[in-house]
Amino acid sequence: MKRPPELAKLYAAVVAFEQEAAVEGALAALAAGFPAGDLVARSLAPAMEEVGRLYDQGHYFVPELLLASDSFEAALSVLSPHLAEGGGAPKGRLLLGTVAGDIHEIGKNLVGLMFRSAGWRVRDLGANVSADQFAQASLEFRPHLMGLSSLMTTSFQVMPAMVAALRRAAPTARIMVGGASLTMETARRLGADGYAPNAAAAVREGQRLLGT
Amino acid sequence: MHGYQDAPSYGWADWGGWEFGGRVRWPESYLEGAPTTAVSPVTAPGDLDRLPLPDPQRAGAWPLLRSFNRELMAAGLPIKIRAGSPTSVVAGMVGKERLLRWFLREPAAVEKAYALAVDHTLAAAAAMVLEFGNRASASISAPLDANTLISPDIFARFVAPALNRIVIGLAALGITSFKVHICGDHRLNLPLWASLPWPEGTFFSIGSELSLTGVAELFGHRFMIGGNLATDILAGGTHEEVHRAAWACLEEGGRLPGGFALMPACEMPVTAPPLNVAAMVNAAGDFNRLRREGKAGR
Repeated sequence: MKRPPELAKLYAAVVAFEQEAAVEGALAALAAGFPAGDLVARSLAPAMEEVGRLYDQGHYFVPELLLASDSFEAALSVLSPHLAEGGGAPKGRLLLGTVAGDIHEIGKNLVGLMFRSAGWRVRDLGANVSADQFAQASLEFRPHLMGLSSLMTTSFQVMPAMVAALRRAAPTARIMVGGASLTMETARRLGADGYAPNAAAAVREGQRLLGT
Repeated sequence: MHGYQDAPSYGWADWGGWEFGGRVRWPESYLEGAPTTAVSPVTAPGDLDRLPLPDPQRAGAWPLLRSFNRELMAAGLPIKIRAGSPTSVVAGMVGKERLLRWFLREPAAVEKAYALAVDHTLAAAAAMVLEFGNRASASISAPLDANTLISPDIFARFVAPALNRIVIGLAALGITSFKVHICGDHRLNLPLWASLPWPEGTFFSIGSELSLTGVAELFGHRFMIGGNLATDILAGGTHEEVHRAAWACLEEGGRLPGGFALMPACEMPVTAPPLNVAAMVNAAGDFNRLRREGKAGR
């Protein structure tokens, strides 16, 4: 995609995980008169898509993903005050957490970042989240998608009941699981609608589940 | 229950932060399984300059391991030495997400942290040898070094040199028995693992992401390989599924010239149903019997 130089600079700063350059790029593009919404849609979001692609292809690993996300968030914080109320309609709402008994968060945090950069509204409930906490939050947040993260096989003990509780609390929401202890087969066994092996794939899977 | 029992060992994956002055979080339910580092002592690169090497007699979990080793000694079993991976120690020291960022942002600080981790690992090993002698087995488990998290370039720059120092340093103490768990997806790191100066007889266990045959070929058939029955099947599969998966491991592993041990791809899940554990044990028994009869493993 051919971008004006200001947008290209911002895009490149995020892909190269240069946080200061991303902030400077966002400020410069605003000063040049580009609407903040345009900068998100034409620079920041495509940059994170590219970061996801580089990760998928094995050129980037988690350190690069984290630093690119930092750059994205830093630039977004510059643009946020200039975005129209709410920044336009989100592509969907994701309610996210690491399941009860598990306190690992790196993978779950990356999933949240990738969804946010793809234009979703994300509520992250943190780690060691019980079915009740998930269900309570879903009543208020009304998610389209719920993401359950787990690194440990012990979570197999709680996840079927969690999935059942979430279906009762939010019958229309789709449920996705992911994490090192899980596979497509175990996801199916646990009663989830979808599964993703990593953060970049999670966005694609979420969009597939919602048909967007 | 199943007629088999490995020599007991004491430790957990997230070992290191407590010893360097961090705070450990003990499991609050059986689901958590093991302690974790709740607060890491290092939050800025400059902290590393002020971080003293822990006292291997008193710091963190070392007194617990020493006490455990006394029990092993009394039972006539070899004592255990925690030897890494150094990345787990550094992650405990610095914090996992911070470390992942620092690999690229603060490489000099990361090198310093690895040097401290290795110095401490060797000092703790020396203290154990002084007290118990060198009839010891060193264990290394490397979950945070997997390519699911870091690149082979990071492994080559930070991890491999640290492991090299540990292996050589422990050999100098007379410790030549190593159990190494290459945890998770290390496909891109494997040539570096294979290039380290492992003593003859080192035992490598691998995750289900790796191929038993591929690892054995890369390591030159000099070592015994263990693995790699998927833990999600052990924890959540049926008896038949576990038996089938174990059989597939046995068919492949049974051909390895360096020897093979059937075992889970990672720690045995504490929630694995006893029937599933029995399925794994029975598969090994059935396989060995049929192999003796010339009906399997050819």
